[in-house]
This record gives sequence, C-alpha cells and structure tokens, in this order.
Amino acid sequence: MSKTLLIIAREYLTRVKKKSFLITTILAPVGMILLFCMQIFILLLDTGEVKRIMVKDDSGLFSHTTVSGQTQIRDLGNMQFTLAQGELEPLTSSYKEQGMDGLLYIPNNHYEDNQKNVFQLQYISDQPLGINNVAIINRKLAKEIRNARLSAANIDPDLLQKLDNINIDILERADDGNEVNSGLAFGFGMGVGFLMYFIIIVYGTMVMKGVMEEKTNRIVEVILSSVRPFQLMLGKIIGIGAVGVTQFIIWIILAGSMYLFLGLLLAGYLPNPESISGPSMMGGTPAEAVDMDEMQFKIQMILDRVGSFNLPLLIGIFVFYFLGGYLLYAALFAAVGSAVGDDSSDSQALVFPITIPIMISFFIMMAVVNQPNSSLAFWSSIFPLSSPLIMPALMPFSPPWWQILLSMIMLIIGFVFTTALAAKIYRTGILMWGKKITFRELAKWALK
Amino acid sequence: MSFLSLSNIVKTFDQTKAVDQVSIEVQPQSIFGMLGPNGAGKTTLIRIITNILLPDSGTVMLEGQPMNLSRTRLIGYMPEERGLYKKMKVGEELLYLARLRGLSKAEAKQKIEAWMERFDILDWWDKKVEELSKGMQQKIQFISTVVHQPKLIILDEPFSGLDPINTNLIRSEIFRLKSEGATIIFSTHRMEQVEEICEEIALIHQGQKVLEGQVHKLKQQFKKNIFKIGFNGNLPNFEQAPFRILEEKQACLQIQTNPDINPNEILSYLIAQGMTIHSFNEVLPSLNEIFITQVSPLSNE
Repeated sequence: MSKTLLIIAREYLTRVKKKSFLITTILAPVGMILLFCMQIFILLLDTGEVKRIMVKDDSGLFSHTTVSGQTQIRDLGNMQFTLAQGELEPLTSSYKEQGMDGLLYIPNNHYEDNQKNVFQLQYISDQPLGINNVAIINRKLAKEIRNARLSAANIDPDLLQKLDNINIDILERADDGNEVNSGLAFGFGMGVGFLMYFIIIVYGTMVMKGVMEEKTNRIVEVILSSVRPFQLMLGKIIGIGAVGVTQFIIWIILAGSMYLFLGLLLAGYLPNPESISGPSMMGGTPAEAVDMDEMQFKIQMILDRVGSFNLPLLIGIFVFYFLGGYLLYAALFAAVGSAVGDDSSDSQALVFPITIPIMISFFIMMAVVNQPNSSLAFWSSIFPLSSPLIMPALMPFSPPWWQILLSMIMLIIGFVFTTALAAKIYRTGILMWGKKITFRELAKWALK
Repeated sequence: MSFLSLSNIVKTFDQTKAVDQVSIEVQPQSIFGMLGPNGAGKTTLIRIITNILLPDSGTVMLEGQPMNLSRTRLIGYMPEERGLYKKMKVGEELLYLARLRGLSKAEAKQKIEAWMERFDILDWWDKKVEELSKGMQQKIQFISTVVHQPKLIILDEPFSGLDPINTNLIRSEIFRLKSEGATIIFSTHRMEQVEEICEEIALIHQGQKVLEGQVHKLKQQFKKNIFKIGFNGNLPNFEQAPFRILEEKQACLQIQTNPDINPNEILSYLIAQGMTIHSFNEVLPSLNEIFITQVSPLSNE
C-alpha cells in the first residue's frame, strides 16, 4: 500500500470512527428537522394567548346572522369575539368587568361607498392587540367590505372569484430549445451555491485544523522522515474530502428515508392549509391567505420543471465542482495551517484572505442567479476561485457547453496551481516553530 | 568505511547559517554523540540526515550511497519534542507509523506486539495516547522509532523528561540494539548524560563542528595532568616536589604536574616522603569542561 494511501486511510478512518462524526452526521439533520418541526408546531399552536374581545359592531359587517336568527361572530385565530350589547360609552370602561381583554368598535361608516378607502376602527384595551391579530381583523373586514361593495354593485362574488382565477405560467425557453424557469432556477442556484459555500468553509477548516494538530504536536517531524510533505498534505486533503463525501452520502440516504417515513406518517394527518394561514412561516409577517388551488398548481409546476432538468448531468456537474472547489480551497487552508502552528488568533488573520474570495463568490452567486447572462456571471463562472460556487448555481439556466468546459478546465488548472503553491508554503511552514509568520514570508516561501 | 558520512553540509535559513561546513563520520555499530548547546544546529543537522530538509550544499551518504526518501526506512528518528496523535489508540498509532516506514501490516503488528511485551505494556493497545502519562508516551515513542529495525537510530534528547527507571530501561535497550547491529546517534546538550554511553562525539557550536573524536582520546587530549590523591598521615614539605598543589584538604590532595612527568614518578616521590597512599586518580576533564574551553575562545572573538 502506498504511503499516500496509508495517510488517506488514517485521516479518513480516525475521523469516521470518532463518536462525534456519527453524532454530527446523524444529529445535524435530525436537529434541523426538529427545528423545522418545532417551528411549524409553534406556528400551529400560535403562542399568543387567546384574547377575548368584545365587539361593538355598528356596521353589521363583522357579525352575521344565523339561520335561527341569532347574530354571531365567528372567532378568528386566537381571538374570541363576543358581540356587545348597548351603547359604546359605558362599554369602554365595563368590558373588563365582563371578563374581556379589549373592546373593538366598528362604526357604521358607509362601507359600500366606493369613494371611501380609509376606514377607522377603535380598539380599547390595556394590552396591545398584536400585529397578527391586527392583520387578521384587517383581512376579515376588507373581505367583508369588498363583498358588501360587490353586492351593492350587483356583482355575484362567486362569479367574480371564478373570473379572477387566472394562473399564468411563463414558459421561458432558451434559443437552443432548452426550457428554463427563472424562479425555480433561482431557488436551485441559491441552494447549491449556499451548499458549496458551507462545504468549502467547513471542510477547509477541518483540513487546516488537522495540519495545525500535526504541527503543534510535532508528529510531523517523524512522518516527514518517511514521506514527502506533499504526500502528507495531499493525503490529509483527500482523506478529509472522503469524510465529506461519506457524510453527504449518509445525509442523502437519511433524507430519502426520512422523506418516505414522514410521507407515510403524515399522509392524511396534514393540517388543513387554511388553519395555518395565519402568520407566514418565514418571518411572522402576515401572509396572504393561501389559496389551495394556486398552491397545488405551483407545486405541480415545480415538479414538472424539476423533471425537465437533466438530473444526472446536474449531479455530475455538482460533484465535479464540489471536488474541484474543495481541492482548490483545502490546499490553501492546509498552507495556512502549516504556517500558523498553535496560535489560533494567528490562524484567523491568515485565514481571512481565503474566506474573503469564498464570501465574495457567495455574494456574486446571489447576484448572478438574477442575471445569469450578465458578463459578471460569465467571468465569475470561469474564474477558479469563484467558479465552484457560481457554475453549479448557473447550471439550471443552461449555459453553453463551451462555457462549462472552459470553467472546468480553469478549475483544474486552478487547483493544480493552488496545490503547488500551497505545497511550497506547507513544506517550509510545517517545520517552522516559534515564529510569527507574515504574509510577506508566505509569499517568499511560495515563490521560492 | 563509515556507516554515515556527512561532508561539508551547509544549510542557511534567511541570513543565518544554521549549519556551516559540517563534516561528520559515524562508524558502523557505534554510538555517536552529537553535542552542543541549544540552537547550535543539531536539530537542523538531524533533519538533513533524516531527509526532512535538504542541505544547500554538501552530501549525506548512508552506507556509501546518497541519502534519499526511499532509504529513510533505514533510519529511526525520535525528535526532541515528542509527538504522537493524541486521539489515536496506541496500537493503531504504532501500526500506522510502522507502516509509513514501509512495514507490512502483519509484520508491523507482530513487531509492535513483541516490543510492547518487552516493555510489559501490551494491555495499552486499545488505550488512547492522551490517556497515558508522559513517561508512558515516551515508551510508545521509542517503540515507534525502532520498530522497523532501522540500521541508524537517531535520538534527540532521548532522556529528557524520563524518570531514572525509564532512563535505565531506554539505555539498556539502546545497548541491546547496538549489539544487534544498529548504529546510534545521540543528540543532546546535556553532555554528562552521554559521556559513558558514546564512543565518539562531535561538538557543534553555532552551526560549526568545533571538535570531534573518541571520547577517551579527547579526554586525554584535553587533560591538564591533575591528580587526586587520598592519603593518610601528615603532609611533608613539598618544596622539591615535581608538581604544584592545587588543593589541600584533610586526607585529600589535588596536584598538577607537567605533561612530561610520569605518574609513577609522582607516586615514588610521595611514597619516599613517607606518605601512605590510599588512592591515586588522574582527573580527566568532563566533556562539558572540554566544550567550554573550546567554545569560549570562539565566542570571545
């Protein structure tokens, strides 16, 4: 067995056999899923306590009359409504005695008048109503006013809804006949770009830490009397890369089985989308009421479009740029690790020039998925320091094959170049102790 | 023919000459001491021998052939600052290091087990290195240095941090390995440690070799003809004596003679003076003293 293979095997096995590998590999996605479930759970629960609100409805819009002739108000969200009887004035002070949290006053205001577009309600309470509740009341009332106006204008609301039900799907086609979809491509590109960013930073740092460990505990001196520094560096980079690949394979398997499992578990138990049509999941801003038909239509559209991607090609390209980007940056991380030794504050300063291009590439990536045909997109997809993030993100936009090829060749040249450069720094740095390394020295070693 | 031959080795870091025109010959199956204060250039020299560093100029010949990476299997090197992967298990780590040296897995395992049995530490196989004490780790380090049966064993400060029991253990292993055919190079700044171990030494100072030779010859070369005499009775008058008195204590006398005077003459003289001699020893300089006398004129330049 060649010595480089031995090193790869050690780097790989010691990491994979560690308990922490199993824990992070299994727990990270489980944690993410739990976090996600928790978010949904909390939303379903809607943490806000129930508010009992007395409504003085002079407009008659908020309440409705049941078949039996009684006037009622349907509760909304976390609000329990009670219709108020009598005059407004005494109620403003007595609502508390009746066990209410607040008093909502809806004056009669000629809502059916199309000229008016601002209406004022009053809410009297010693506690704020809350942004979600305000949104719910606004929506409900706006809907009722709209219906009132429609009937005033003799328009059937049901007919109008049917007339309104129009979904437009712009089918974008590149001139070579490939189908593209901006929205989905945008999402896919962002996802892939973020993943690449995450991979490079996490595994690059792992390489750097590994090199620093060998240097600080001096075992490197023993090992380097048996192998070339380049073999040691390469063995570490490849071994840790293999750890990353293993982790991803496990995640893909986990995600697949989780998807199946959750699908079986939740089939039939999924909450009615209407009941979670409160605050949106993203940021607590009030969302539009989800229209079931529209949602289904969009999901169907996305599934169709995903089917239209050339998945094997996409995965192949993704794997290529994952490996290329990892190799390119890991070599640089290894060089930094060899130069700093045990002082972690030093490493932060030296690692900065590596993380900067990754971060800039990330920002460029976010820009170019909006403008996939810009010259920024082209050049950043060719430049090896940014192409691992940019090119996979551009793939859904079907860039020409020669651009992909050029980018790939440049990436190969790029990582051969950074590896050679890193090897030179590494060779010198790994045996240098007790000395603060400056950029000038790094450059001198690299150019030697 | 020398076993290891360094000729005119030069190594410069930035502007400092870490090693300056050093030539050393090490005889086969000998114990060679590379002595010198910290920072003298010993470690750089060792790294050049072990092929970790390449010299700017000069050649390293092992068994008459130039040194290269494929021949590092012949060398076992224990650096001064001991290093092992802390998180690895003892057995795995030794296996890994032995296989890096070129042993097959089965061969490595068999040899490691033999060594661990010799040190009576076979039950450490599944322990993590970080769970061991420093002295225990040194034993592991020593095994990893010699497990591939190197012909040349280089030990940098081998006894630092070892308790007397382990020092003796390692010392006797070194002699055993030598008797089995290995050549050993000691590097240390603690010269008293190697006086009775090394046959030949080289003194390194500021990157240069200032002195070399067999230990007993060097001692003869730098002796100052000082004798220590244990006696009984009263001191006679020494006005006509063929020596100077350096120190006079009760029942103990230190004298210095001229190099051309035979110790027998002194003895005869003392006996003729009516003294009862209990002991008569020549005081040879320690390597430390020789080193200091050699180095001080240099550093005063």
